[in-house]
Amino acid sequence: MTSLVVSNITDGSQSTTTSKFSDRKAHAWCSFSKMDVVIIKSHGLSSMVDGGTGIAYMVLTYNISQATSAASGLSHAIYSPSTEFGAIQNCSYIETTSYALCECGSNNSTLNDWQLGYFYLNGK
Amino acid sequence: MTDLCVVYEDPLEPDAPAKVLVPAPEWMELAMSGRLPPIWVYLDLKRDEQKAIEEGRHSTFRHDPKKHALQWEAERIGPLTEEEAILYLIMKDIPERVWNEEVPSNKRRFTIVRKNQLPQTREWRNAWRLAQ
Repeated sequence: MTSLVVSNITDGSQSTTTSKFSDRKAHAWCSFSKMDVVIIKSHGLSSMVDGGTGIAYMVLTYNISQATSAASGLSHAIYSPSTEFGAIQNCSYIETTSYALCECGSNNSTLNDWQLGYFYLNGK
Repeated sequence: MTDLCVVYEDPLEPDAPAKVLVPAPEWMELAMSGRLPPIWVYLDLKRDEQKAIEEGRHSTFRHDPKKHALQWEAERIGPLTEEEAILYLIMKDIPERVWNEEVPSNKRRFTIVRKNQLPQTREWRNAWRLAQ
């Protein structure tokens, strides 16, 4: 199981819970050794971009490069998932950082069922 | 929650399949209730960050505090219609080279569609192209 950190982007507050994701799935997301995961609260997300099979982008409501170094580059997020989009969790890493973003929620393969529940995965 | 989405192609990735931008419902609520700053606030930030990337200093980049604070402090633009919100989102979340008409192109780069106009399975996802 992985550590799950729920983060509120606007005020920086955090709380920790336990991820429901198995190690096997975590390895399917990416090869990072540390799996701290931060949920981007819904108000922190403005859109998701489906870039094709296994590729997605996430864009935040706010440009938070100023807020923390960890968040730098989030508005230019690039995903590098290893699984079919919509299956299990899809993951990304962020350009210029070692952070990644992962999808959770829907296992459906159609866009109409695509749920905007996404993770910010600290891969450092 | 809107069922509009934006299909676009990035001229920097000519071989890539068309991308589909799906608005977050919470963001649409912000837009349609009039709680967004003027779009130039975001464009200023994007351009500053892009410049830092091009100059190889993105890893140490920090926004100008005054510009950054305008995201929350600038006067709100008032409620947007669903269509206006999508147009705002295009400018905010899609690279400027896709939507800026001053960038020359002989092909359409994006279109706004209803989700039910998209293919309903992803079997041939990587073959999706924007119809010209």
